Amino acid sequence: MAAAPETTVPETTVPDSTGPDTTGPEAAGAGAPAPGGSPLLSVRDLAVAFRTRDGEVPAVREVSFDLARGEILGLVGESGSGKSTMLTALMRMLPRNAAITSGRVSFDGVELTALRENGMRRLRGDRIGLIPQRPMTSLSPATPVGRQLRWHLDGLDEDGRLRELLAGVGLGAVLDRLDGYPFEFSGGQLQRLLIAVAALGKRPDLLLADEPTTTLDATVQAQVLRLLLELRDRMGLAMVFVTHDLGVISQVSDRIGVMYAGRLVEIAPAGALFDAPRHPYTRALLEAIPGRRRRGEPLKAIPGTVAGANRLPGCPFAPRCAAVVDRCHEENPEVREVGESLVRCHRAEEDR
Amino acid sequence: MSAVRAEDLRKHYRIRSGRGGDRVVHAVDGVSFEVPAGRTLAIIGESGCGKSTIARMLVRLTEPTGGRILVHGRDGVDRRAIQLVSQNPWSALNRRKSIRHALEQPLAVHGLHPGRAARAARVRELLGLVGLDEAYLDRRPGGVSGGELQRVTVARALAVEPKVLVLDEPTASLDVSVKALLVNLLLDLKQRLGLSYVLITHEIDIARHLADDVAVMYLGRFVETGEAERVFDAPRHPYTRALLAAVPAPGREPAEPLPGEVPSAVAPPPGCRFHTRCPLALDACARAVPALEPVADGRLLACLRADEPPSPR
Repeated sequence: MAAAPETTVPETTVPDSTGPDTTGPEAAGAGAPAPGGSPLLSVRDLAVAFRTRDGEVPAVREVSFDLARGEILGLVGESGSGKSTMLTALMRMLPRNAAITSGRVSFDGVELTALRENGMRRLRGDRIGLIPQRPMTSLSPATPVGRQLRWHLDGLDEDGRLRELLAGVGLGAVLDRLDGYPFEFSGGQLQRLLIAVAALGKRPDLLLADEPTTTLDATVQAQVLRLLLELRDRMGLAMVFVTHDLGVISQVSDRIGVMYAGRLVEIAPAGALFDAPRHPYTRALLEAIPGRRRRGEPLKAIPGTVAGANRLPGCPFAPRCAAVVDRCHEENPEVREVGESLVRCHRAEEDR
Repeated sequence: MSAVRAEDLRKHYRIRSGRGGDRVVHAVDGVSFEVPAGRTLAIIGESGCGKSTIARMLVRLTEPTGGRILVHGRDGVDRRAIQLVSQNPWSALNRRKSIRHALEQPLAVHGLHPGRAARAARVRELLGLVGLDEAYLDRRPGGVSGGELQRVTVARALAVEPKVLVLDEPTASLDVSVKALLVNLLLDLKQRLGLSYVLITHEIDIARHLADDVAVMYLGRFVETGEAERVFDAPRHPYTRALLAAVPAPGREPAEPLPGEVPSAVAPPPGCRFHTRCPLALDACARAVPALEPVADGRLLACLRADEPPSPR
């Protein structure tokens, strides 16, 4: 993964870079503890754009959030909302035609957008782990699984190290099958192997998970979710967990961020988001879930589509919003604090 | 008369393997069910349980190796009586052809609505049925969103005026808000056209919302069938319970996992196929194959311990 050529040159594309980078890439691996209370990860006004034939298309805009050590932030949104682009931007693994166009990402005091590629490479895997969506395509199909584990993890041949690692993800039973190839394992087993690599092998501080259970069956999904929660409790791991599944996100997150058309429209503690959603889009999403209606009754759908919303002036949800007023089409709402939520909506304070 | 009746349906795939001769995958192993006209049967289960194989056999994309399928009382292949809506609309439609072409094809193949004007009128009517306007006719799948494209495949399935639709994971590839629109469309069409549905899905909440009856499948067999409301509200089979408990919902811890993995369909366990993972298994479960038998409230249950009072969830 880390060997992929990296062409993004954020130093030159960050217009509001705050002075020279004082920490330097060398500090990245040192793991200096953050001052008490400061967040592990701090994202400010992050923007990512794709270059296309039709010009620059914004994919992520004005995204800001903090993540504390040991905290799990869930990011939920529909396809095209920018949630996966966000994650790849945090890892600095954006495709060639995309770049961070503004904003700052500070990880344990290190400014990631200003870091050179070799410094970034030292962070990836070691201090920031990634769990991909499809375990099957993230492993080489032609190499025994045990050998692939050795690529990523040092000291596996030491006594009991491998046993301990596999037992840590509930895979003790496959210890004698590690000369097998990925296709001989189930999806749930492979995903747990990748979690062992990402979370246990190098003991990172931050884990980025991109739809890690989407391709898994319900009973296996429950197993993987329990494992992630347990690792957090045991190792104080912080996590950004991206998914489109509202049920899944409610079970794993301490806080939940809702993304729409590249923007973070609401962020709130998990309980508050489900009990008292403030943004009209969050409300609409929750109302579209079948579980909240009587059997056979029409579901509440959201009219219109998200197409092109990231290029509009004003609030991107305005064309589909049930609570829209004139102002919404002209002026993009600032972040407001309402109850426990941070919301981008002109009418967030109103009790509707 | 039932819209669909399946009797002891079986599908065994023979796979070649060098030494030791061929092996047999028992994808579907003796499944019987009935869908009364105007009702929806949901078949739920996890990947590899054989539910999609049932879908393919119902529309005769795959020939059963045993058993019978009757559609409105008739045996034999009748492609106009029963039609399939598949999971992925992108691969179900030809990328190079217009949506008009996709909707005209079944009419041409079955010789329906002959004459250019009549056919064009029928195509517009079909598009209207699924709530899309004529502007879509000349577009190709590439320029249309997933939710709209899935409407097109529904319209195409309806072109030959079937009485039964087999819906194979119809909403699995769609976003939450779009999913709701398709669910509403399916509810509406069933009412207006008097259709019957066989819904194959792993999305429990979708099954719960659409189904009148439900069948729970594990490793090629049904373990529990019955009226949807009863089964979902008070599941009896240990597998049904585990499956429903695993559905994530706000304010609930992720479910306790089942031990072990799903066994291979090449060598399914003897006796009850679930006994290797069942929290209630007795020694007898490894020996005797439990029959799918009626219990008090009209549902069918394949479990040796069915007579015991259900433990509170």
